[in-house]
Amino acid sequence: MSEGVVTAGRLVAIIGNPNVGKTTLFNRLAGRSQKTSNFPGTTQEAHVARVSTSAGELTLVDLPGIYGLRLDTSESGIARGVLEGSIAPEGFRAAPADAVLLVLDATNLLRNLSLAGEALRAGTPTVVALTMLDDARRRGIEVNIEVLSRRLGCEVVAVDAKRGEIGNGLLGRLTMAATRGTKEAVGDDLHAWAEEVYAEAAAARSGRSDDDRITDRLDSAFTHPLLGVIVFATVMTGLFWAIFRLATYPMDWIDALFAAMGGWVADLLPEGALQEMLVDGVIAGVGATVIFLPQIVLLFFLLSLLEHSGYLARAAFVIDRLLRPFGLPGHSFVPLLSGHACALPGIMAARAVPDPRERLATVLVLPFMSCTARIPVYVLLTTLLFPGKPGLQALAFAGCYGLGIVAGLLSALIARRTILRGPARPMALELPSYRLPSLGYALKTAAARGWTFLRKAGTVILAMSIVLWWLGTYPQSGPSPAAEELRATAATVDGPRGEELTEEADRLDSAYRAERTALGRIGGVVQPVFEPIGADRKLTIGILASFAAREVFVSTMAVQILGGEDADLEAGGVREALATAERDDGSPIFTRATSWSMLVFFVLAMQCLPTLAVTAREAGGVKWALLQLGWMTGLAYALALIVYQSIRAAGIA
Amino acid sequence: MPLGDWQFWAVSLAGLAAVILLVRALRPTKPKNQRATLTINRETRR
Repeated sequence: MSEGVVTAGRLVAIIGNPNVGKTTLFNRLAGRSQKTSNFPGTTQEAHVARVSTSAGELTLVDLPGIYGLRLDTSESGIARGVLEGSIAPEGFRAAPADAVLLVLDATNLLRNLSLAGEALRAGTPTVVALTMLDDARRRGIEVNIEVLSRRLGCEVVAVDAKRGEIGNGLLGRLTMAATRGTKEAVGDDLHAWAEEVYAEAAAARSGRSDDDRITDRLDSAFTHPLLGVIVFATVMTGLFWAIFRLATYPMDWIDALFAAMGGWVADLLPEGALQEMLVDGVIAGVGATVIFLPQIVLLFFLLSLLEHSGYLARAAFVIDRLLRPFGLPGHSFVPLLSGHACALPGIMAARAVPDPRERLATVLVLPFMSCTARIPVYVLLTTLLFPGKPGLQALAFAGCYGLGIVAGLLSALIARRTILRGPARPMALELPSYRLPSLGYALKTAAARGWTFLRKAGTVILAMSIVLWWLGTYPQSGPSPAAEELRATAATVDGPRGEELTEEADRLDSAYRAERTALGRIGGVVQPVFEPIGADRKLTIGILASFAAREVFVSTMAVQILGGEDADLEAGGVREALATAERDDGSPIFTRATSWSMLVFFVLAMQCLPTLAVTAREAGGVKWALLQLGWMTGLAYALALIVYQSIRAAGIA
Repeated sequence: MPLGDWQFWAVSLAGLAAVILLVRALRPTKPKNQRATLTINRETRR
């Protein structure tokens, strides 16, 4: 085998600028064989895969996207280290890369060639994968692959990783790749070399393409300092309004379906504990959560359409200007946006924030972003606050997201001015062309999110509903002495007064029995803590249960209310039962003051154990997780207290 | 507690199984091959 030829079992480093399709290509090449680890001493994720080719085995390492190998960033340092053999992903031997898979974006070829020149200078055997050729053609850029290959001195393969076409035998070519003296050909002036190669290998039509002109016009509005923010706010409010409007019908169907299921099971099974557990525990608890599935699916469907259209990148640009005054870089936008799905991937994505202080600030405030687990709680409470008014519901719903974002930003500002003081780094952002979003991709994303939600409803929420029903049923006690006395009196009184006394006796009895169950006793002990924010015994139980997972709140309330025989599942569905639920003293649970107070509490409180665990790991210590828990929950309690007491003081019923 | 009622034991057993499931589901574990959505440009990569 000649010098420079890659042999089987060798290390192949995949490098390229950010957003050139590098990771998509890696995923296509690696399939399911990939493993995720860290580069030692860093929080930078390393994706590694061993793949077999007819010529032997290759170890592929997907490196972080970089603009240059000599830049002073952690990503560039890692890429340099892997190429030179001074660093390797955990669990792999550190050795110089045997070959490089250089991913170049045809739409930005000139800029990409600077990195290509740096990589080729190292003299490592290289294969170039050229992506986005279709986009380039649409924008009037024709790339001559043969000329490019000759000038770079290595094989150039056109790939379309997204559609599954990864070039004819790309892996095979990697195993046989060899340098052909490009090291000398690049020269000292990298920029001049890149321009020379680009002029020879790529022919761009004169003038701007239609795509470019449309992009320019739209960008002048969408990235405008004022208009951009107004457009962003309008788009987001419209999004939430559409979710509330369109989801109403499937939500009604699901509600009716679970009500029918409850009735069917009640008819099928004889009366007893088993029937009660299934109807008032399992069906009520799971049904109360699954009812929010249409809204979750719609949210992610519409967000995916926006993302694919290219608008979200403009939103990132607009938001960058807004983030800066709070001590966060534009890099934080993607983690913060991911946090709106779930805090866990958001915190993981914060690894892309280069500055350690800015990264830590992002991790600490990220759980303020409203994750999907909060959606069922928001929907329940906003619906209770504004029944039959989807416009106001959407506004309140969007307000919850806004409150979380504002609280997160202000917390970041405080952290950056105190415990995480330090200079800010500038940010570079690439804006893609606008395009028609892919309906298929949006449907897939929405289906994946919906399935995750359903899986949780089928496991955690199902289990929690059973446990809560048991704790809310046992130990069973005898009838209330006060209720017995009242019933005796009612028996001696005729007419409506007698009926009133009997009803009062039933209510007393129900409260007496509920207070003596295990759940009632726990609620009784903790309730004084939450009483100032409007929580009665049942709401206290709901809050406590939601520290395991926020969405459990809705099912917990449903199980307590239906299990306590305060309502009938068949009569009007779970939502009706929750809306008319009563406290032990007969007053409504969800008054205006209580609903607003609970809404504020759930927007701001830290109620997710897995997030705390990931924060501790990513931030580098349990103390940061404890700080997150204390700060968020303390702030939630304080603001909920202010809201509840203010509404009550204003005399609003 | 209605110890003589077989249904009590059935629902208690279900409750115990639910507790075990909850502990297992909520116990923090190291994510394996978990990929965040890192890109808002061109397409989502997971």
